[in-house]
Amino acid sequence: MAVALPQYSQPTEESRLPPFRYWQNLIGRTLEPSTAVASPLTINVLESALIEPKEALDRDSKFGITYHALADRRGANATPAGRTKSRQVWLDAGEDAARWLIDRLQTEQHTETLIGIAETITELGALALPIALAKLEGDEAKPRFAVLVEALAWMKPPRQPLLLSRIASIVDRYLASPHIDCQVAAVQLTRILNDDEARTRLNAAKQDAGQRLREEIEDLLDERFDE
Amino acid sequence: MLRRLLTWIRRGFCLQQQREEFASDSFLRIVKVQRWQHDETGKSPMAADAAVDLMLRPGEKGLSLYRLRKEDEADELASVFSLTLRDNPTHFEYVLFPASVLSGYRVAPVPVLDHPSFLSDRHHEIQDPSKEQLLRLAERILGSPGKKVRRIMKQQIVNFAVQQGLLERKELRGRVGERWRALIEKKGRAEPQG
Repeated sequence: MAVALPQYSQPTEESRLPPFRYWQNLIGRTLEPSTAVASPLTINVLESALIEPKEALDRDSKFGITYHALADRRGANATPAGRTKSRQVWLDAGEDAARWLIDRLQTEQHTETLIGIAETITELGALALPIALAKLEGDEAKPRFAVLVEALAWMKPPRQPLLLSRIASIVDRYLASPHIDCQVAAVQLTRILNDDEARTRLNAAKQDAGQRLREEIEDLLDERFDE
Repeated sequence: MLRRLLTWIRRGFCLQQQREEFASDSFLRIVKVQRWQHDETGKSPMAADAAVDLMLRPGEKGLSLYRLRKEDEADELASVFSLTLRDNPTHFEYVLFPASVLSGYRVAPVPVLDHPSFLSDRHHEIQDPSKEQLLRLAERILGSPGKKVRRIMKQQIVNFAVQQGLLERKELRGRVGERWRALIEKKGRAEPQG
């Protein structure tokens, strides 16, 4: 059956603009600061204000403005180098940024924003790792934190044996979780373990794995061990 | 008179042909698959949960979709999108649905020239949708017998990139993140092409 979608044949309001205005619109969209600030941020601002009034407010407003750009892949953010550059605010803020972003995981649901948070935490690397581990250890395994577990999976493996053993414990806890998102994230996190430790855990998990987890394990075995 | 009549018939025929072409097109929206599928207990997905994947971010003016002429373009779209716009290698999850689902919505091509042309050419937006419209859209997609909910695994993306030589494409040079590049080069060494 033919379906009429007349809008296809009509130029959009935007594309009818003169070229300069059209591009200004597109570029402006990526630069537009967030107009909506989630309520947890407001609470965070109030809490911080009791401790370091001006600095905390400056920091939170700076983070609030750059937060939604994490999911925007247009303009300068269309290339990996551009994204790294636009994440400089977070990288400069170091541990503060890691804490702030990890707090956002309590409420954020937008897929691309979650990916943006994870990538920024990965780039924060060693600065974010102890904060992330403390968060994951202080709470039960929750699907909400799966994105954080996956962010750690792409960091350079730490040299300190204590950090590695804490990561291995997180892998075990998340593999034992009944939630598939947690199990999948744990499989990814084995990437940071040495070959033997990773293989042992992946093979054990594969024994009782359902289809989704099995696919995930096979995907990683293929990537890491060409199996 | 006769010429006018012929032109009129020809134009009508072309318009009909164009409509049929559009009707056979599909639209792809990047989503989180579990919001669109039955869960492990067999419970049906809820429109309110699925609609989370359609909500606009603050500052966003339209709902991004990709229009595909053929379903198998989804593999290339997943690969080009992931390689160029995601830094941490991960799976690509999407829902694909027939164009007919969008009848009544204001859909327009919105090229994103910062992106590789494969993405830019296919990028469309539903312009200024209300939350209510997006919830209805989630219901329509979930109710569409033609919808497909898929996850393309990370290694499938890597394999596709190796087979299609995506790293060698001039347009993609400088756009593929180093983590993806490392996986593709490793796979390429293990399975040299040609």
